[in-house]
Amino acid sequence: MTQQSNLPSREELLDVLRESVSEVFSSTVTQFKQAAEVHEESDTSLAIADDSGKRLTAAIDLEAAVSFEGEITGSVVVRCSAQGAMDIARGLLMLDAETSLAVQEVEDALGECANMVSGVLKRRALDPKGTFKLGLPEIRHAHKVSGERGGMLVYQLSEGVVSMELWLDTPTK
Amino acid sequence: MAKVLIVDDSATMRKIIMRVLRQAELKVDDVLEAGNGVEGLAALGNAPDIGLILSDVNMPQMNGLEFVKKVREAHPKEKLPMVMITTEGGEAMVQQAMSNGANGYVTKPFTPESIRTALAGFIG
Repeated sequence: MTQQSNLPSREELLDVLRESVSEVFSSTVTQFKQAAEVHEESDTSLAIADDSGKRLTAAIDLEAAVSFEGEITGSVVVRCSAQGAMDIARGLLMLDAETSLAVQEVEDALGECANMVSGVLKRRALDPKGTFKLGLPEIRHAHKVSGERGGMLVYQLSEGVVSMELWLDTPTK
Repeated sequence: MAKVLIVDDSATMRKIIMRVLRQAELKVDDVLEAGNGVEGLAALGNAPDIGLILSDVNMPQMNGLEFVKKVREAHPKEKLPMVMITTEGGEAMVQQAMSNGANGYVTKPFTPESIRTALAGFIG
């Protein structure tokens, strides 16, 4: 059997990304629910609907990316609305909704969120033996990400929206 | 009571660790912070009474694996415990951290209970 045949499929990776997000959000953000329907209106705008059909449009303002390099190379990209980034930062820091945050605090929290999700994904699916290399979180204002998107999971948080995305530079099965 | 040094490039994570140390009711009387291994070594030089180091692995300038190795040049693991707190919990990373001189590790995300369990033998 070749090493290539041991690589997870795109569907397997997406399943583990869902588990990874759930593990991180369960111990950080207070409210999160995966959107039942997602429509990308543009590179920086998402329309989502929940199980009841309630629709919400969100501008994607900020993103944090953590690259991984090994038998599969790519990135975990956390893209969110400004309010979604605040939800994540307040959740991680256990702050109430009234507490104001500096831009740097929000960006740092978003990077740490991407870092933790990437770490869990790496441990569980990409690289249980620990030979893959993870990059440091890179924060940027939302733009069109290059490469091939392996999947996206969109969540509605307390006030905002976040899209957890897997971008691949090398193909999977 | 122990003086603890937290080394992590994320200010958010340093705040989370400080909060969890309080929640875990561990015997900590002072906490110092550093953003990478280079700053961690400087902090240790300025405060030789540090009794426990908690360090991330993936950091700029000097990562946690290099940091633990440098610390061990002057501080044996029996005298100054070091616990890695990291998203990188793979087998190879853990083996390297332990062989470089770490006393233990905790994977992120963590709970107050997992921190208490990992640190109880060092600062009770």
